[in-house]
Amino acid sequence: MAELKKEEKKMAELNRELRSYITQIETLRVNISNIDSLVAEYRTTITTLQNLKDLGKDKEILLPVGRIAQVNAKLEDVNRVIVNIGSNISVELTFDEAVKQIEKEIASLLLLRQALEKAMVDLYGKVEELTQRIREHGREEAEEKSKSRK
Amino acid sequence: MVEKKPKKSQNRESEMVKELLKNLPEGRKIYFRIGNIMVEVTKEEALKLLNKTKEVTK
Repeated sequence: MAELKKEEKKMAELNRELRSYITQIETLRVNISNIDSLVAEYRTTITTLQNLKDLGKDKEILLPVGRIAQVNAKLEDVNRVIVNIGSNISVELTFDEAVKQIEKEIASLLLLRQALEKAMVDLYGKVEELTQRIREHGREEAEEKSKSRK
Repeated sequence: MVEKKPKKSQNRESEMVKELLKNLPEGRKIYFRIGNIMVEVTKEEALKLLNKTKEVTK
């Protein structure tokens, strides 16, 4: 009887461990998805800057005011771009510097994504291993129960 | 919801910003965001604000 209790406790522990791994995988998945959105946004920014530069100075544009309204504006010097460099600080960069800075951000995000993906693969391996252990444990537990009934 | 960055990552970001500010050619405009407002600051002011933010997050 005591042996059975011990086995059940062990099984609960393994299940808890498994749930923890699954939660970690979910968190990593959300983080990777956030990185993907950010990378897509940064790439759009580069394209937008390029398009604005191609259109050139004095072009009439619509400036968004919130999500619902827009006002007329005129494009000024596109060779001066204000880029957020982090810690609430933005700096004026030339067009080329701005594109380089954004590309640098994309590269570091992709590096981070690679690391997260590797961590996720490792966790999947652990989940598989643990699932196997749980299955074996369940089989042993069932055998123990049938023996004790006899 | 805005996710709070871990302290280690905040420090690294702040170091990178500091480096970028130091290498920024003279005459370039620098802005500091306070809520929805972007305030134009000098390089020295920006570095000071950066150190101040770092102290607050310590």
